[in-house]
Amino acid sequence: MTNANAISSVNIKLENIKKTYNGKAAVDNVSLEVKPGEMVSLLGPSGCGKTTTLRAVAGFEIPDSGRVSIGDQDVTKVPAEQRRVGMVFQSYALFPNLSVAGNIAFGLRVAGWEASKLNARVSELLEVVGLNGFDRRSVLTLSGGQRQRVALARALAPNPRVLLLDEPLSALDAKIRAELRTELRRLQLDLGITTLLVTHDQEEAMSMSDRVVVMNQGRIEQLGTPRDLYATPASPFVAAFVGAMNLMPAEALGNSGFRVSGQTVNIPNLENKTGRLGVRPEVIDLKPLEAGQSAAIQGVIELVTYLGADQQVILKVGGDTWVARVENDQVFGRGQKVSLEIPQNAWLWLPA
Amino acid sequence: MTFLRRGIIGLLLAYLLLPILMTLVYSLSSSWTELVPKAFSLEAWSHLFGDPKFWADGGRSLILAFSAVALSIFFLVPTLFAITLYAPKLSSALEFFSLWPFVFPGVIMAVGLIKIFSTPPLAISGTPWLLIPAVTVVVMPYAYRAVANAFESADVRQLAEAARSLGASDLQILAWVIFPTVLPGVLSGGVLALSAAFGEFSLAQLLVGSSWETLPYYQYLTNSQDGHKSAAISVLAFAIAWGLGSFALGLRSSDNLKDAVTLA
Amino acid sequence: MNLRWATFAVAFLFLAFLLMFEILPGILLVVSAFTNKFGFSFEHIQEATKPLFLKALVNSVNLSFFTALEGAALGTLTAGAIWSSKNVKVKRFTTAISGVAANFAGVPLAFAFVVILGSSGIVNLLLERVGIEPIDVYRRQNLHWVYLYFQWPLMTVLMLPAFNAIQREWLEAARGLGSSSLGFWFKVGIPVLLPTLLGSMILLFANSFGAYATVYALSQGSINLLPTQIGFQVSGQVGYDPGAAAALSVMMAVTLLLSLALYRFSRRWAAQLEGAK
Ligand SMILES: Nc1ncnc2c1ncn2[C@@H]1O[C@H](COP(=O)(O)OP(=O)(O)OP(=O)(O)O)[C@@H](O)[C@H]1O
Ligand SMILES: [Mg+2]
Repeated sequence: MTNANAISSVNIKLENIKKTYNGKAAVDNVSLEVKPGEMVSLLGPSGCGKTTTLRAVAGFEIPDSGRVSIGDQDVTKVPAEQRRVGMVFQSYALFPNLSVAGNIAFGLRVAGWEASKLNARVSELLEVVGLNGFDRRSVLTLSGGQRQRVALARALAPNPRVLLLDEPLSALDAKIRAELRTELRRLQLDLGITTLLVTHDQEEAMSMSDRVVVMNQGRIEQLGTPRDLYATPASPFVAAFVGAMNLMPAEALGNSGFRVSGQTVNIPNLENKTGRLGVRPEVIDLKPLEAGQSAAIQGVIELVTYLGADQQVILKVGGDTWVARVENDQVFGRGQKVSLEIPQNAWLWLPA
Repeated sequence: MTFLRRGIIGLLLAYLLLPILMTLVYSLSSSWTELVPKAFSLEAWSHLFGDPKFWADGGRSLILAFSAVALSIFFLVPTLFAITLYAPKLSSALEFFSLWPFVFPGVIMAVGLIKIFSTPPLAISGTPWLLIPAVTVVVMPYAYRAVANAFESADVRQLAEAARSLGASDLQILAWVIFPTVLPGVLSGGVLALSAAFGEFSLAQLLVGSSWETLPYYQYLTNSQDGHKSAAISVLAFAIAWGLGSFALGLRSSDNLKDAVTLA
Repeated sequence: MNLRWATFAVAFLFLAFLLMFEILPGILLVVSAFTNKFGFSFEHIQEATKPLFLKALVNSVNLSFFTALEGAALGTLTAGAIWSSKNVKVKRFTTAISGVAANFAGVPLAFAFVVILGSSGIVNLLLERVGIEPIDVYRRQNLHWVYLYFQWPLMTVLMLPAFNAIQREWLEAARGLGSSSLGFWFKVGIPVLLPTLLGSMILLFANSFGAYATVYALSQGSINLLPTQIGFQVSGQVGYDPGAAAALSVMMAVTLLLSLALYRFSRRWAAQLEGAK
């Protein structure tokens, strides 16, 4: 990939954005800064307000209150066509009457580029997104992945100040999605363009962005690097949404003892409060128990799913269902009794 | 923009509703030669409803309309079923013959029909035995569009295969699966065809005229005699078209609306 | 019972029915247009080109073309207005009444227009009052006002699906790229609508070209149009000449066939564009 152009990166700043539909807050007091050159994901379940937030940046939605600025310029009331943002839509929204080149050139035509510069820019972008030779093709004859590339090239062509992506990969099948994920991130880093990405796929958010914003019901639940979110989720919602987590109600017994799923565990560094205890599946180790043996935490295997790189084991612990991900070398059977070995510092305590 | 939008929609509504509303007022007025009617009366309506000929002609129109619709549905549903399931290649032929009246509208059809059916052994010109089949042909496009759409969007072929793989017999497939799925389309097509057949004038005039008089012909004769009564018939016709139309519309999604359109 | 054979039996019955009441009359029409007592001849065709009939053809083409244009312009704007309106009730009502009015031709419509535009029609009284020349609905030049009653809503319902195929995101994408809404319509919106617009105009043309009942009920045929001439020649009130009627009918059918072909072409073109989603 070539360096398409030198973009002087600017920031995106949202301050106390609020947007209400029919009395219901779609976005509720959201504040957020995307630093120059950074890629930030908005992650959350369907209807949590991700798209609305993004559209407020693009200018398709005017917030009821709050401020949107791009490059330290207040654009809250600036019409979309004057914001110079590049947007990629979930459905790509390619113009069906225009060829691939026609679509990419659209923004350049609007800006009044002269023909020779325009053609050069279009070829450059075709190169960037790997669609050399496709310029004359009708967009209707393209595959989903190719359409996505055209949409990206079209958004980037007029040198936008920031890039906005609304679930750009969700309409693609798994393999192409994984490919484009890396490609898109690499391109973003190469260009150094400030990017806001909306997704409901946590893997996509984690793998593509510098920081992730987890949203829930119009509010920001947590904002941090993928590592932070995974290691120290701020709420049960984040814990469950980012990666998998065994999350069980826990009762503090005093003296750093806790009761969880009918088992008693000792966790020295946790506060003596009632809340929930969480364990990521991959930190659990399973040891077979002989008849008559017992362990601190024990469970019965219900189902084993072979995943190639490792295996997923579903167990009954007390009355609860737990999930563990363990190496392939052990072979477990249904109904087998096992001991769950969990390092003491792997436990996460979360408010109820 | 909003102003323009409201303006053009308002203009259309005015253009479509005002003639009918004024006709209604006219039918209720006893004399209307100035800007506002001088006196109102129900005379026109009572004349209309008191005329035995009106009821006789209306009855004939109903017979005509229902026979034409029954015939088209009787032909179309099994034929579409057979073609969809066993001979998909023939579907364009069926479409061609069903849309034939687009190229041969009523007036022209009448010319050809009179030629064949006015000499023995087939001298049925001037009788309902010619009018009913002729009107059936002319309203076929309405019925065809709706029924064919229903077959298409229901993916009847796959439904039938699914039912067959569950062990259903042919008759069960038809009665439990196909018929219920296409019923809304059949009904809405039927209703549209009914409306068209009910108002059919050109064939009624050219093929049978006063020898088997229907309602449109009745109004045509009334026009020159009693304007107020004729106005009442216009309003009645609009009310019927509106009733049937909204019933048909309720049976189909709005994006199919373009099929509700005439090929007069 | 074997369903396959039962349904095919009905299909064959249908075919027989069509042969009898649709195909044979059609063929006979064409045959009698090109034959006389002695066999193949252009006698009737020649007859059909006599000035009176030619005038009828020209009048019909003029009227149909004009009402198609008029209906297309108004209907497209109306469909666009309905499309962009957010008021669901207005949308529903306008669409529903357009669907009804598009089919409301014939005797009842003719008389409704007599009530408003006849010699003592209420609208005419109003026009006279404000000093505008009244519109005489019995004159050919004013017939388009009547036809507009079904052409305008017909165009509206024909264009609605095409408007609905325009995704709001296209407009947003264009604006995001710096284009104004108007710019979007010129560069994308109208090109996408164009095939449907042309196709619907052809339908409107055909719709008016074959319309007989409305104009006949209005004028008893004193307005010289192709359908009224055909009606005369076959019903024998004025002239009686089945040969000429057949020839005129063929003239009309050929025009309509041509329209149908053009319409099909426009549909295919539109379908190509609609593959967009
Ligand atoms: N134009 C609108 N009118 C009314 N309600 C709206 C509108 N746009 C969004 N909403 C509502 O606002 C809330 C947030 O919508 P938004 O599209 O931002 O969600 P999202 O997080 O992008 O969801 P998804 O993952 O499904 O795209 C939803 O409850 C939605 O129904
Ligand atoms: Mg969304």
